[in-house]
Order: sequence, then structure tokens, then C-alpha cells
Amino acid sequence: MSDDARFTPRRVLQALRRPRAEADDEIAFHIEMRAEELVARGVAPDEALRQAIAHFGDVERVRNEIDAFNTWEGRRMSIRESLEALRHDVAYATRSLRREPALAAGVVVTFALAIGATAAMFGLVRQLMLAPPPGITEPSRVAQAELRFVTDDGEMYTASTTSYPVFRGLASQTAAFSAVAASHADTILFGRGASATGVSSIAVTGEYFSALGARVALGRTLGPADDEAPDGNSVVVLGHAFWQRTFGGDRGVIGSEVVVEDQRFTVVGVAAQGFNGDQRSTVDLFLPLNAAMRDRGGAWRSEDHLNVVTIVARLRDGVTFDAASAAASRALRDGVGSRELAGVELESVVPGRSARQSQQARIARWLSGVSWIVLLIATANVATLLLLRAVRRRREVAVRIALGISRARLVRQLLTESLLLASIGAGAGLFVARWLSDVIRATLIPNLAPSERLVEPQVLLVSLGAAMAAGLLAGLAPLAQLAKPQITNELHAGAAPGSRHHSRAQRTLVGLQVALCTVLLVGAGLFVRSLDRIRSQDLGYNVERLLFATIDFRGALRGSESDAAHVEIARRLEQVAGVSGATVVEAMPFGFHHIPPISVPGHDRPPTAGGQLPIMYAATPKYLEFMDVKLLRGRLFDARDRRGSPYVVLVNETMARETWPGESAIGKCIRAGMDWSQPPTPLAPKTLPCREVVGVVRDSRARSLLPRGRETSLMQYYVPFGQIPEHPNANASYVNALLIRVTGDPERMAPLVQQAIQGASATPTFARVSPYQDLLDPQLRPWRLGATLFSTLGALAMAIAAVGLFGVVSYVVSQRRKEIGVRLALGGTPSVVAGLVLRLAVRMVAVGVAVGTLVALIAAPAVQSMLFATSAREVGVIAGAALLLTGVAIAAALVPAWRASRVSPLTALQSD
Amino acid sequence: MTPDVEILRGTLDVILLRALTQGPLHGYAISRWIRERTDEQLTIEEGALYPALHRLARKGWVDSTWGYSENNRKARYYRLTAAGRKRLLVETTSWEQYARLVSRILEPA
Repeated sequence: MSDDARFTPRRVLQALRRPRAEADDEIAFHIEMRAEELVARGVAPDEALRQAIAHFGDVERVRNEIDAFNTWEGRRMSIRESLEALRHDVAYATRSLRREPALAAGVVVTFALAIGATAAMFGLVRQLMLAPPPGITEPSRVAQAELRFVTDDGEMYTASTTSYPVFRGLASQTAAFSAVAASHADTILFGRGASATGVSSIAVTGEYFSALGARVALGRTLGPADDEAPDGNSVVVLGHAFWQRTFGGDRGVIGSEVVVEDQRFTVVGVAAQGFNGDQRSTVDLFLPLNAAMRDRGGAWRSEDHLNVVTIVARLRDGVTFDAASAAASRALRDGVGSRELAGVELESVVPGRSARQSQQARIARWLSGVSWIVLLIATANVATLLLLRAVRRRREVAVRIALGISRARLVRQLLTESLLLASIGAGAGLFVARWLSDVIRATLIPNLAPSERLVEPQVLLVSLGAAMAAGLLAGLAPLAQLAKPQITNELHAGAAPGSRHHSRAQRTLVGLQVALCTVLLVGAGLFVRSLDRIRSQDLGYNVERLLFATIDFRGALRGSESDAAHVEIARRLEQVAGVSGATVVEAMPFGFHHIPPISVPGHDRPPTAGGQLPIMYAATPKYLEFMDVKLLRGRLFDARDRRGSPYVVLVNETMARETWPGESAIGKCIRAGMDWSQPPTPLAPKTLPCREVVGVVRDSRARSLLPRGRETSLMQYYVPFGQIPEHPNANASYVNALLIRVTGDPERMAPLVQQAIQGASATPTFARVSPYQDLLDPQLRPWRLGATLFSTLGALAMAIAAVGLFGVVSYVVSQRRKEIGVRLALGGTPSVVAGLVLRLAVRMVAVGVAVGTLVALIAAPAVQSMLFATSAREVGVIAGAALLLTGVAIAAALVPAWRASRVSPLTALQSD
Repeated sequence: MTPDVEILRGTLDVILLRALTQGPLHGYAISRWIRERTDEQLTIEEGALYPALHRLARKGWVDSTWGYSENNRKARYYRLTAAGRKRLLVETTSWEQYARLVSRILEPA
């Protein structure tokens, strides 16, 4: 009421500006009639009018009431009046919120975090799953070709990388496609000398830009004339972000020369902002394919087993994806294509239309669902806070209702308040969203190109929508209570507010939050457990201290010279501080694979496990040590096992068991490689020398972190590095990379090792050095994404729920001060009182945890497929979530409990 | 001065319904009627009549039309509906019962 008095002058002024003829008529009529009556009784006219107004009471309030009634009666307010009313409501809400800044801040922060999280997740899901790569015109007509293969043993697999002849085959299907283009993505060198850096590029055929309908920000696109065999034009189109970063957005860059892979290229254009071709990762340079492949010889253009390109095509209008796929499949079966090629599938670049769904996308979709739950929790929490506030203002509101403020007005006022809070929260939330999605992109989905806009319009819309919905919901909860007729009881003096049923509503809301939190925490626990198990599984080796380096001599050293240089570099690296060893490698798990033809005397088919030929590793003794190859029987390699010495081989358990069942493998013979004078066969010919098995070693993981399918029974064997099956070319190269063991953090050591390699060589040398773990990382990423985000969102939700719990417990304590005072006066000890409060908090949480656990158990089958070696109903995880929440509840109740125990009986009993 | 009796909420509704049994009246006429019936001993903020009347209108017990007063001034007239009449009967009965019980309790034994 005090506000009414405080703001009366202003309201009267507003009233005078408003044309409210009817309300004024009715009031004026009454007052004048009353004044006339008084004048008739002998009162002086001036005094009569003053008395008549005094008798009437609060003119402004009645005027509002009459207004509301007129509206109710169907007389529409003019737009101007509505706006005026809105402005008035907003001003009122602002004033009343300003009186409780802590509450307003709490609500805004809650909303900002929840809306930010929701918007960030939605943005990522949109980018990963819903939106086509940016910059493509009419993306619904553009498709990426996916080749389906069926192996001899019936296993199906798909690949998007294929050969140039396959591209030519598809390009001939002009009835189905208006344009077909191929591209080859690679990291290439940009610049010269010490400042040269690796940049991401795609080399494209002439139709690429037109097939995608891509535009440039500056200059021109690449066209067919740029990509003529054999060498193409030395021209390059810069990626927009790269142009900004490297050239500072200089418009004069067109026509200038840059050095790409040690050759001069002329910049002819800058791609449109955000355009990354048909990819989702950032592209720095676009080059003509023939120009980029210049020094690779011409074989890639004619050989259909050299898989170097991916294909995009624009479908003609009226051609369906199915029809196009059928035409493409026919073309390839009739023309080129391998024996195993079963068909071509054209997948729309709009992810929602594609049948494919990556693990990443699936987890992203889950996360967006989860972020909606967080928003729901936040909404419940805001509702709790507003409810507490409403209860504090109960008396005031009851008085207003009794004095005739219309319910409609009250509803409007309360909704205005919560919507105002939600809007401020949404505004702040957008910044949270931007920050959060940058963090996620940087740490969890590094190959996803960042959006160049601050906020995507769709994300903005969704977050505003979410804010409005949340604001409405949160605002309605206190209304449901205030609008009850019993409210008038509040007018009776001394009536204790906070009767059983309000605290029931608050407890329900807190219980709901806790239940949702439980579900989230169980989810987080399951993902963390999965990630933990997938990381700690025994791969057969430990890559923690290993670096992996590939070295590029820019064509200066070839074949055996290159191999010798690698050996020399490895030797010198061992002198570098922090490096405990280095060795050359040809193939390694999760890296390069070498699967040569193989045969075993007495078998007319090559040994296979699950249809898979054995994988060969060329191993130096150091390699065996670094990769922790564990000997079971026989011996490992040593310095004796060189080129020219007797051929020896180590086989893994699976190979020993499957190839020579019931026998010892030691001393057996295998042949591997090709006799180059004969046509290639999957069976190594008898003309090759026998390699004697000298040892059996443990199985290890080679390609997949998931021990599923072929990965569970993998035949592997090791040959001494000097005894790699020979290539007919005497000057062939066998070394593909270096494996380096370091004593410190591999992440920190990588650049030091790179400098050591590049600095030590007289010939131009470029090294790419990364932790071995990076080879495994792409497979870990979905789990890490799930674990990190579920945990983050779970922690966020828990913090929000803790705030709500704290609010409710504090409120209950303040309501029960008198009772607590009595208890203390009657000899209750502070610890008994504190225990009472803590039990109250635990009780509230217990119900929520129970409900949440039930939901988690019911939802378990839906998440099971995304977990690794973890049951979706794992008891430890559920118990952990329950314990954590109970702990949080106790923590949230500690301060109110402490306050309760310090209530002075005297003041408590005197109050009210 | 005569003692002021503050009108009990809920009672106001019965009083208004009763006032309108005389026929359509505007707000001022109702307030004058109440004052006359109670010898000016019952004080109400006259403005409070209007929210009360509107509440009754929303419940369907009263409806209103604009008309002109005795001295040809524009005024809103309130009229009892059939539902209002029924309501008045119920309210009056229960009110009388209540009043009887309360006065029986208050009577000296």
C-alpha cells in the first residue's frame, strides 16, 4: 500500500493524460451528486466538494477498477492505452524489483545460465544436425556421394572418399545432375621458410563453386578453366576468416602472390563469409585440384584404386535423391568401380535429410534435450523464488485485492515482473551462449568451424521463446496461489502466513528440480563412467608419453634417402632434453596400416579373423618397447634381426590360436608380401621366403576404441623393420613416421620436438608433431563431449537447485521462528533445532531423488546404446548422484539451520 | 458522533443486492440508500461500492447499462439479474441465521 501512496501524484498525472471518459463520467457523477446533496444541507460549495471527494475514497484506484470493468465489458482499449498500461506495468515491476536486488539478481543469473546453456546447445545441434554448411545456394538440391561396398564375407561399409575416375563417371550423368564436382581436403604449407604454417585447404575441380552455388566476398571463384590438366592455374581463393586473420581483411589482396607448398599462387578471390565448401571445418584456401596435385604425377587421374576425392553434386530440378542415386549406381557399375562397390548413395548436405547420423550428432541431440531440462529446472527455481517473494508480499497483495484491484491487473503485474526478469536473463544468456559454444567448440569439437556471426537468428529466436515461456511459467506459479479466494484470510490480523499449502507448492517445485537434477547427474555419471572405462581400457599399450611425427622433405629427399634421414633425425632427437627415445615406424595402431598379402604353408586361403587379413607392423626393438608389446612365448626382436639375417616374425595370440589351433606357433612359417613378377593376389605366393615365428605376443587394439566386431579378434604380426616385404623399386621408402617417447607432457614437448626436427636439417624440412593420443582422440571425442557437457550442465542444474533449496529452507525457518523460539525456550538445544532444519531439507530432497531415480531407470534403455561397458542402471552411479544431491541439500540448509539455532527465544516470541 | 461501524466484507455484497431489489439504480443512489437505511452510522468509502458492484456483475448477479439520471446526467445503472435475486435469498437466509446465532451467544445468560 505504501507504494500506492508514494506514487499517487504520478499516477494522478498519468490519469489526467489518459482519456478515460466513462470512468471519469461515473466518478464525476457520483462526486457531484454527493456535493450537491451536501450543499442542499447547507455546506459551503467548496467544502462540499472536498467532503464529497473524501467520502469517495481513493479516486485513482476506483478509476482503475472501473477501467478494468469497462475493458471486461468488451470495450476495447486503444493501442495507445495498452502501451501506456504496459509501460506503467513495466515501470511498476522495475520499481518493485529494485527493492529486492538480491532476488532479482538471483533470478536473472539463473535465467542467464539456463538460457545460455540452452541456446548454446541448440546452436551446436543446429550446426551439427539441422543446418547445411553455410554459403550453399539451394542446399536441398546438393548432395554428397557416399559409396557403399560389400566385402567378400558379406560385411557392408561405406566410404565418401573415392577416385577421380569415379568422379568422372558421376559427372557424365548429366540427366540427373546439373553439376558434379570433386574436392580433396588436405593440410598444406602456406608461406615460406621458418614462418611457413600448415593451413587447411580444399583442392577442387572446376565445377565446385557452381555446384554449391557459392559466392565470393571479393574477386572471383574458381572455374573450369582454372582446373585444366595437367597443371591447372596457380590461383587461389582465400577463406574469409583466413583472409581476415592473415591479411587483416585487406581488399588489395586480390592479384597478390602467396606461397603455397613452395609454389607461387595468385590470389583471385576471397570466399563469402562462413563458406567452407561442403565441409563443417574451417577451410583456409581453395585451390584448383590439378594445381594442388601437380607434383603427384598423373596416376591419380586415371587409377580407380587411388581414393583421393570426395564428390558433391547438384541435382537437376525434379530429380529425386533416390533416382539420382540409382542413376549414379548404374553408371559406376557399368563403368569403373571395384568389385566390392555395391552402389552410390546421394546424401543431402542438409543433415536432417540424411539417413546418416553420427555419434556426435546423436550426443548433441541428447545434450540439447538435457539443456532443456536445465531450463526447466531454472524455471522451477525462478518460480520458487518468485513464490517466496509473493508470499512475503501476501499481505500487501491481499490488501490490494480487497481494495478492488482487479485480478486481471494483478496477473498482469506479476507476469510483467517475471517476463521482465526473463528478458534480462535472456539478454545476458546470449552472451553466456556465445561464450559457452566457443568453449565447447575449442575444447570438444575442434573440427567444427566457428560461426562468424555473434548469434544465429534462429538461436536468438529460440532463446527468446524459451525465456518467454519460462517467464510465463515462473510467473504463473505464484499467481495460482495468489488468485485463491482464501487470500482474504490474510487480512485478519495476526493470521500466520505460510500455511501448509504454500510450502507444499514450494516443496513440489524443489522436489521437481531435485528430480530433474538426479536424472542429469545420473546421465553425467554414466557418461563419465563410460569415458573413464573407454580411456582406461587396456589397449595393449600406453600412449601417454608418446609423440608422433611426420616429416616432409618437400621432395628434396626421396625413397631410401628419406628413410636414412628419418633414422638420422631419430638418432639426433634422442639427444634432445626431455626425449627418452625415438624410432622410425611404418605402420602403427590408429595410424598408418599395412596389410600385405599373406599365406601359411598347408592352408590354401590366407589366415583371416572375421574376414579381416592380419595387420602387419614393421618393428624396431624400440618400437616393441614403446608400444609395450608383451611377449608370451619365445623371444622379441633384437639387433640380430636385420636385413639379410634369417627372416623372423612375431604373431599375436589370436593369430597363433586361429592359424595353428592346438599347436605351438613357435617355429612355424608364414609368407608375407608380393612377388612383383606375378599378378597381385591376397595370398602371398610360395616363391617368397619363409618367415619363422620366433615369438607370440599379446593382442592389442589397432583401429577402434570400441571392442566390437572385427576389433575383438584381430590378427597382428610384427616383422623386423629391416625385413619389411620388399618393394620392386630399389629406392622405395619404408619409413612413414617417427615415434618419440618423452619424459614430460607430450602436449608441451610437441613444439620443441618440431623445432628440433626442422632446425637440425640442411634440406628444407617440415615436421608435424602431435601427441600419439591425438590419433585416438577423434574416437574419444563423442564420449568426452557427452561426459563434459553432461557434467557441466549437471553441475549448473545442481547449483540452481541448491539456490532454490536454500531459499525455501530459509523461508521455512523464518516462518517457524516462533515455533523455534518456543522450542528453545522450553529447553531445546541449538543442535536439536539445527537438526530439525537439516532433516526438513533432506526430506525435500529425498522425494525428488526417488522420483528422479525412477525416471532415470525408466529412461535407461534410451541411453544404453551410447554408453561403454556401463549399464544405464548402474547402481554406483545412481547412488553417487543421490548422495551428491543429499550432500548439496545439507550444504544448502546449513546456513538457515545455523540461523535457526541462533534464534533468540525472546525476540522470536515478541515478534508479531 | 455516532460510532463508526466498519462494514464487513461479504456483507457489502448482500447490502448491494438488497439495494437493487428496488429496481435499477446508479452507484450514487445506492450509496445514498445505504446511508439513509443506516442513519449514516455505517461508513463505507463510497468509491469502494464500484469495485464491489463490478465484482457482482462479473458473477452474473448484476448487470449494468448506461442511462440518464433525474437531472439528465449520464450515469451507469445497475440492475439485479435473476441469478442475483436467487443469490440474495440464499445470502439473506444464511446471514439472518448467522446473526441470530451470534446474538444468542452474546446475550447475557
